[in-house]
Amino acid sequence: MKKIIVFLMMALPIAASAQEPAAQQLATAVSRLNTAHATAEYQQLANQFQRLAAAQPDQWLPVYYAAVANMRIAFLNKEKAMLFSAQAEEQIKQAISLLKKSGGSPKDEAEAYTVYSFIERARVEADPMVNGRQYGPLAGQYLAQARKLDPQNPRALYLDGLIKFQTPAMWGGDKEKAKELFTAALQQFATPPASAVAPQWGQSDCKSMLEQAK
Amino acid sequence: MKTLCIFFLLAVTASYNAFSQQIIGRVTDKSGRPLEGAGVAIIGTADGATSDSTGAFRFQTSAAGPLMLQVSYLGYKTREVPVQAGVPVTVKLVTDPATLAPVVVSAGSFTAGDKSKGAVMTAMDVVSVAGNGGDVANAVRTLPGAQQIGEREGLFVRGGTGLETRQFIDGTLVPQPYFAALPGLPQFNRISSPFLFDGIVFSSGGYSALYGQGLSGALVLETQDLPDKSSAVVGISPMVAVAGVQRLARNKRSSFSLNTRYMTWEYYARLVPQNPEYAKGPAYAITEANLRAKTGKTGMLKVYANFGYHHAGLYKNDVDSTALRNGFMSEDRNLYVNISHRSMPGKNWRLDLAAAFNHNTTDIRRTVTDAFKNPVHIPQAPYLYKEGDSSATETFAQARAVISRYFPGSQVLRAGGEVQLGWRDELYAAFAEMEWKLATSLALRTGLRFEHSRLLRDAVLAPRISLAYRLGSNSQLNAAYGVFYQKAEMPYLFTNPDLPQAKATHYILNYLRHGNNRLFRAELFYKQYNRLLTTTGQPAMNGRGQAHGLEFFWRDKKSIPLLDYWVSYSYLHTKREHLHYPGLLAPSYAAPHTLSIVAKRFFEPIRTSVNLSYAYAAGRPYYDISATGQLRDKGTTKAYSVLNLSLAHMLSLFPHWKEKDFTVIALGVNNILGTKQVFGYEYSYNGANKAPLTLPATRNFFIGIFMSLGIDRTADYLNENL
Repeated sequence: MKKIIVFLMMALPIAASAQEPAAQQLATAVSRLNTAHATAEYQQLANQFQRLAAAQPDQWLPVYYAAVANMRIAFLNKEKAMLFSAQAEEQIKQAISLLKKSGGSPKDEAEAYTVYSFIERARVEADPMVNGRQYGPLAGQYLAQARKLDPQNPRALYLDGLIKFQTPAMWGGDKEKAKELFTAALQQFATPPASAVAPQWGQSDCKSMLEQAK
Repeated sequence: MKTLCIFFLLAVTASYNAFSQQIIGRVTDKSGRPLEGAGVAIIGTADGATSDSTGAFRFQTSAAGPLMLQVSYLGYKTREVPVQAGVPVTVKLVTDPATLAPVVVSAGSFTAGDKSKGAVMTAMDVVSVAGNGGDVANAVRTLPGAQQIGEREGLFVRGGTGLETRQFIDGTLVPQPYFAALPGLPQFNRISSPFLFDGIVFSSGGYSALYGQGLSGALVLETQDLPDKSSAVVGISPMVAVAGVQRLARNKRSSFSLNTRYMTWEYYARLVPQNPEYAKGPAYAITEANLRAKTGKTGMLKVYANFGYHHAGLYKNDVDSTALRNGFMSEDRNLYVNISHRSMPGKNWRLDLAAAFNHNTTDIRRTVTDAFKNPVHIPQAPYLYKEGDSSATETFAQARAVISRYFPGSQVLRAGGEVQLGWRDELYAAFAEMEWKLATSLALRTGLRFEHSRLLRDAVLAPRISLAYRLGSNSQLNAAYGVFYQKAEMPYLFTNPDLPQAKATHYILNYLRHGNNRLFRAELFYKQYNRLLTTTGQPAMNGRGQAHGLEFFWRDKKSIPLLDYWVSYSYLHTKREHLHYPGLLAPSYAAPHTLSIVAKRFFEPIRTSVNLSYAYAAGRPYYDISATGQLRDKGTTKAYSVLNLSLAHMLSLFPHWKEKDFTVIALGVNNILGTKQVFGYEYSYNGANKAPLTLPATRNFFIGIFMSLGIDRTADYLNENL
């Protein structure tokens, strides 16, 4: 009996999600992305965002989020980082082209380029010696583009800080500057997102990096 | 209660079933193993799920009509299958070959440099291997297949002499890569800066048909294209002074550089006494000029010129008489020019043209002196053979063209020809090579090289075959076979111009596994020397020999945080009858076991990189072969074991300059433990006395400061230590 109830409880949310309208599903997935940690969670989200993107091929947000989820996996799974970042790159390129087509705001474009920069960064971290030279400058280039489009983007500020934090001082790294950037990012993170589906991930990473920087 | 619950359950399920249906199934790979994390979706809807750790999935859909399920998993081919609600479906996915890196033929070779994916070393690795003096060829000695030879220059590969491994720059042969040999001492490479090159391939056998005239191995160097920006470098140490500029044109289509380096051991030898005594130098002046320019849309023209001057004066004790000494004076001038052009004349075509020119004059004076270096003349053997003057002028020119045609699926056909103009001879070669991708996991390289020498009046055909088979996504099996020819050295051809070329046949089996910042390689080889030069009587090509062995290589940048290390081990069994050997003997430069360990770590808080290298070689055989060709004595030296340390501290002396400087203070000690090394023995004429061949000084020290402006070479350290 208990088993059946447990099964029912498990089956219900799955069944329910299939019934939700796509917009509702996207909002639920976005909030799950805020708290996800494990590769398996990100994989589920990547697949879900991918399905939502397939169902709404003219929307930039689902495919943008699919790229985010795959990029997170690329950071977590070094063995397959190149595969996942290739997938993420394809998706973020599509998000950017959708944004350009619909005349998206510079703020939205900044979000997309920030993710693009994160993707290149994931490639560097997969094998710094082999990939550093090739993808390091690309990561910097996309980040600069994002920072220019929206100087207050919290995720771009965070990534900027992360690079400053991880780079040794003699090569332009600066732990103090990194701390400032994390603090500035957290201030921007404090502003509530424009909508339930607007990009809002990264706050907890930023907080934990600021802790480390102290 | 129970019934109520069941009723509730039924009601809920029923209500769902009224407007939705359940899709259930499993995702597996070809062999039925579950794939976790695969995405499944009903095409045309947002309904779907992700497979769990058993590969199973289950979800509801309200879509009507015939349903198509799309199943995708990264690295596998996406599949679409029809599904029916409630009917379990199993979807098998196969790997997508497009996501696998192509199989690359790699038997017998190590790739280094910054361009290549499968690189074992970067230019920075080459510079930072402790004790190698920043020399490409020396750094290669830490890879399996190469011997640890301390008494002379050259790469001694798998039982071959130092002359059997040739160097190539942008396709062309470098006829005299080293300054004129010094007795009992290793000599420097003329073209040694690793930053000149961005592709370095060391082949210890079975190399491509594009190259020839190396019986045992090849060191293939590819020069860099345009630099990223202008830069300047200066450096000073008690032995070396360096200055150079590199200028990138404003339109970034051309660059020019000039580098000059002066090295002398004269002052160092006053501080640390050397044996043999360094009476003059050894000193070196090297000037390099470099022009690189883009031509048209796809063309790249590179001109490199290297002028080197070297002199040395050495005195050592005579092995035949304690009252006498032997003097050795040499002077060497060399001009090397390399011009190459690369272009893409069509969409799938590439044309490589190259020409090289080398002019060398070497003067050597050998004397017998008394204890105060006053020449004495004793007109009898053996002292008579120990004196004399010699002067040699050699000119070498080469022209070469290679055309490549690219086919779908990264298949390539390369074909070309070259002519080498040497002393009294022209060697013509034509070659063709095809890289086939027979299947996604099988690559084949077949090549044929034809050579004709006018002087030798012979023509040879050298087939080369290499095969790569992918075993898993990170491992592959390689095999290679090849026939190699090499002309006899000039002095022998001078008296016997009709000596045929020496000939060797290589067989190689190799296993390679890499990924995740680790690389493991094992190689088994058999090499047959079908024809070798003998000088016991009249010089003739009737020598022979064989070599076989097993080699391992392991590089690991991951297991120990911040530490990068590699380990090479080579087992070699070889015998040959060549030159003055009275029969089949294990050559005196071949140690049966060689081990090399290199470890590097960068300490960020003190901005210092620490490099340690250790090399071990089991004892080498040595012989006393009398002037009449009798083997009078033989033995095995003690094992060679050396530990080198080098430190590089990085700093910026003028951080507020517009172009911040990047300065490195380098410090090194070779043979830090002070182990006495014996490379072999020199015997007196009558065989009664033998003197060990050893290092000129127990330890070798190095200190220097190098400052670069513009280009931050330290970034190379960063990439490795991120």
